[in-house]
Amino acid sequence: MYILGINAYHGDASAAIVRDGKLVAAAEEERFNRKKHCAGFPTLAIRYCLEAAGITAAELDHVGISRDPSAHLHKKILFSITRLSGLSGLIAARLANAAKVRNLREELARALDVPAESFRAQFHNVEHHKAHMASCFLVSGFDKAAILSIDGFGDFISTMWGCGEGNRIEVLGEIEYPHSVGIVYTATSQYLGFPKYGDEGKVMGLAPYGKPRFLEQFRDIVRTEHEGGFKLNLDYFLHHSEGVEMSWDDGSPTIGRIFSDKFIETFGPARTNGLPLASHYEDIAASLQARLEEVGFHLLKHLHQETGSKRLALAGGVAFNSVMNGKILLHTPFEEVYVQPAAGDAGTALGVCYWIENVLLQRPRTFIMGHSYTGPEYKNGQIERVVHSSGLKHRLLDDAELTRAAAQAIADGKIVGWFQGRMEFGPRALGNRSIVVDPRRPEMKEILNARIKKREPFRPFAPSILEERVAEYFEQTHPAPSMLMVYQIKPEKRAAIPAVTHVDGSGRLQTVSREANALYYDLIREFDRITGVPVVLNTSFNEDEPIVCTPGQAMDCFQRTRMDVLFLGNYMVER
Amino acid sequence: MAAGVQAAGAAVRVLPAVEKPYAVLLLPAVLEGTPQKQELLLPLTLAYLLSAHIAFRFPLCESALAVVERVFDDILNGLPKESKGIGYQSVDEAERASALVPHSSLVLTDDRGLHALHSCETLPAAVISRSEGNSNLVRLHNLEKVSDPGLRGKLAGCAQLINAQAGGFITEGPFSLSW
Repeated sequence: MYILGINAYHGDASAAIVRDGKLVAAAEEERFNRKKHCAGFPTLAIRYCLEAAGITAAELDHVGISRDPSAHLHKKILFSITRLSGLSGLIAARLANAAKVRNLREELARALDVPAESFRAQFHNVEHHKAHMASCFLVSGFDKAAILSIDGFGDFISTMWGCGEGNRIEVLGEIEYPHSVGIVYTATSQYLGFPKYGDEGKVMGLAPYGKPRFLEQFRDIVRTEHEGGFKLNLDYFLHHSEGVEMSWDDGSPTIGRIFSDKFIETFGPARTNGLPLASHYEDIAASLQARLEEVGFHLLKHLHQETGSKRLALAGGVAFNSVMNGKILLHTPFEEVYVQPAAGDAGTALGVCYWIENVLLQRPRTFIMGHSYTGPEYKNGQIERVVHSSGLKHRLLDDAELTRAAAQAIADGKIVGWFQGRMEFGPRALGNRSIVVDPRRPEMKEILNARIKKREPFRPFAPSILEERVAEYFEQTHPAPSMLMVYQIKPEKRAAIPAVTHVDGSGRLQTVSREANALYYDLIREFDRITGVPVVLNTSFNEDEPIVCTPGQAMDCFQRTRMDVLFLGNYMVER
Repeated sequence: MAAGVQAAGAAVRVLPAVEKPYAVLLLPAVLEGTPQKQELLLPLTLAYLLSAHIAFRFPLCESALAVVERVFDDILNGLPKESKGIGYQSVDEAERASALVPHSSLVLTDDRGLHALHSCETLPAAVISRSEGNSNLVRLHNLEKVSDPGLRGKLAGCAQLINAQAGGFITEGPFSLSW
């Protein structure tokens, strides 16, 4: 049985395909069409999934999308008619007419250039947050767990929590539009001069530079309520009163201004993108992060109380806040946390598949998502053509020679491109589409930025560490295979790995096990053998673009930047 | 009739005959027994929104009352009670309930209630249906005969918002962030 899951018309459009309960492939559209956070319809990702499964669309048994227009429909109508200021029924009608509406079956047929009648599949709409919940719990390996899905909005809901047990997901609570901590983070990011979709991560990186001296103001902006709930002080926002448009004319989503003038009255003029970051803005970022954590832990403590579970499955865009994630075990009674690698909207494609497989069809849960390597892979034969046509000096190595040569290059201070195996699903490069450098060298952060990444200087780079050595370097040891946890680095180790130690002594680590990624594990182990440090700096293989997908894209990135050496499959390529 | 929807726990009430314009909310599910909450959410929401312009009469059987009240509690939570009223009509007077239709200014019903309109084909009506994809769809009949422009506008607006969703996914537009 084949199930295709789709996330469309949201940021990070994606597709996933499951065969008899096993995940065959999953990938974001942006990796194929090269438009960052591409929204719209994931035509190329779907084509890839079908190809990976070796089937045509006509052979699909079920197709699902992580949107359900009928979910909470009465609330949408109530809200639109009664609360949007100045929106009379007639104006609402005009807006509805202006919206572009597309039908899934027809859109899929158009995308694949096949007649809609050729599909034998049943089509399903899975509510956005239920897809998120399914995406983390059903592949977590937990038989029973508390589940939290928390993001901006989807199907009129910003936050949904519940309990998963076996094949059942019970929703215990939800927060409705217009209240959303995701929206608070996005609005504040806009105010701080980071307006692009996905810029919230930059603000999280900025926060440790500041002091949370505006925490009281943020407590007024997000007010916690009983039973884990929260509400926004809507005076600070525009989305509830004027509607905020999200569009993706060129593929990448853009969001209109969300913060109101009350934000400016409270915090002063908004920062213009590109202007220097005064400490005032750092303090606002710190206050926002502190409040997010307070609200998150308030909700999680309630969720623990309600479910009695010590295990937590977490998804949604806010689950990318690795600083908050890293503190969950310290500030709540939960003892185990599973964050699905593609925790954002891309992961809802996966959730749709498993909602259909396990919840709707009640087929047994047999799959655990232990890694994120579900994208395209290329054999050495395909890579060889790219290498030869580059005209660059190259050598073909076996795996042992490959990891030794790469580790030595890293230890020698070189910037290493590392392109191996299947591409990662989710925003993190986890050792298959990575740029890897020596974390012992404090200057590496600046060198990486100057030569390739061009990122804001305040943003940290992340460490990959052998899983069994985490306790030597970090204050916490709970596995973080998807680089979605930030832990404190032990004070005595910070000087040993300065390039991955953030200003507050933290690091957003990836714990690497041989089981999850043998070649990358061997690379780090080899680096440890040479240097005595079982840690490398790992950043995504890209230059202000989506992470590279193909060998050709990797070679292009290598040639147009000042990377030193590229390990493309088993080929070592040098300038 | 007092403004506002009747409070939860109120007894089923037979409305006196009135001369003023009224609308009828005709849902076979509430005339037959205990309906599902889910199937009442949209029609009761529409009735509430439209009741700002016109009083509604709502025939139902006593066993449906508790569910209806719960749905109204859910809908009205935190909303201003801008309503000319939605009055319940006991089901043991079903014939009288049907008799309300020809004299009404508007009928809000679903596919199953369509038969009540057969003898009143010129009556303004809003019919909630299920589309092929199981989404809700609203069909408007004789909208031009609704004399109150406010009611006419709201009816058109609600129908178009709902129908936009029934057609598939709003992929661009002012509601994208929330919807």
